[in-house]
Amino acid sequence: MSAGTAMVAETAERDDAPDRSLDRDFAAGVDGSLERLYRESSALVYTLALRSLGDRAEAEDVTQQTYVAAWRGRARFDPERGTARGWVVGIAKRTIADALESRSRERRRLEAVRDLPPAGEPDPLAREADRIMVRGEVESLGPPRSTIVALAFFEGRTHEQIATELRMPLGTVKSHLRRSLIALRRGLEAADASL
Amino acid sequence: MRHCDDEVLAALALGEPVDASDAAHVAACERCAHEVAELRDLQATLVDAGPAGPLVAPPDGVWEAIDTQVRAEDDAASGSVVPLTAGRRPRRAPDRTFAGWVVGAAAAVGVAIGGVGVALALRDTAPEQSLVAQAALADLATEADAGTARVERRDDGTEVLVVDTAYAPTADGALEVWLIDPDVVGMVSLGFLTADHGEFEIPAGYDVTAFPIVDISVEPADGDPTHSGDSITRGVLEG
Repeated sequence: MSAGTAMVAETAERDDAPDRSLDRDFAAGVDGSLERLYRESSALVYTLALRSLGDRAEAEDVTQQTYVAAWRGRARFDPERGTARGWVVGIAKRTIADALESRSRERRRLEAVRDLPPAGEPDPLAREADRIMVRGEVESLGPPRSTIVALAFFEGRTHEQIATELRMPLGTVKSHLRRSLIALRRGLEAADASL
Repeated sequence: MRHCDDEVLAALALGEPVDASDAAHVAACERCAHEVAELRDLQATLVDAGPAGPLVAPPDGVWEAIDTQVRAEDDAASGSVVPLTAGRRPRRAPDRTFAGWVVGAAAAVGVAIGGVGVALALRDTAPEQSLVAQAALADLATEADAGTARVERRDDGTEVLVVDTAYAPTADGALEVWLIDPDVVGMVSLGFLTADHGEFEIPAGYDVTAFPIVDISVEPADGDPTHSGDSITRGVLEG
């Protein structure tokens, strides 16, 4: 996380209402909306796939399948019920689960042939996936808030250290943190609701 | 009662000083105290997420592959995918045979798709390269055997649906051949059946694993390109 960028001091006062234009455009199949959704959410989807499957090629396949399926199924996406980002993450989780399932089917088949001992595999989609979702929500705050939240909670810096590092008044850092907490709470609630 | 606004609750959760009146309200108000507790839990969740590391962006080629696939499908589909559920033309309510078949098809397709996957996997090594999938066709009214449909791959890579059935012209209209998805929502017309044997090229971008249902419908000569809802023959492609 590069945090050396000097931030404009009073950007905390921007509009906090979430921008839903992408959700509406995606639902309507507007040209370019799939690419916008991809730019906004593909790092989250790919990271979930990569950590769950542990294989870059498979994670790329899952990412591709996820967005193609999201576009094909966009008529079933209802922007009144959630965000396009939440919808695509839900598809990603199912696609990852399918990939894991076909992998374990293949392993069972091989085991039947070679009599291999079962490879104990903990549920890779549980806690780590939750953590990646949280990281995704933080990144979606956008700078400077994503940077400030990362420094405060992921890196454990004090508010004073953040103010010095970002050359930002302490009050602005605190204001960003307050608003970020509120936005993250709404975002994570929405993410839960859309899965 | 007037509750504290979000910024005050967040300040309390972050351990910052707030006005005495706000502090007194939160101490007495279950709802606001609950919000503060939730925001404190959220901070613990954030700290816990730290070791997960930053998100990793996919390589550049992934978007190009998605874009290419989606464009190919959209081009192939323009003007020919007919969502029955869109209700564009409630010309005829789907009859009981149709509805019953849909339920049966949904169940059967789960099995059939697995079958196609196996067939596709085997095809790479088997000497017989051309057969991709096949379906037994059934008359929807009588459930009697109504011939076969096969998907074959030509040397140039195009896929062809080969239909062999007992062709019976009807006064109600021409017989149109479709591929339909497992939800019976998306579909593509392949053309009209005019003899016992018909070969229909499957448009590029259509994958028979995604559109495994072969459907033959009676289409009146009314100039409406959408599916009439009057299916007479169906089968599910499998390996």
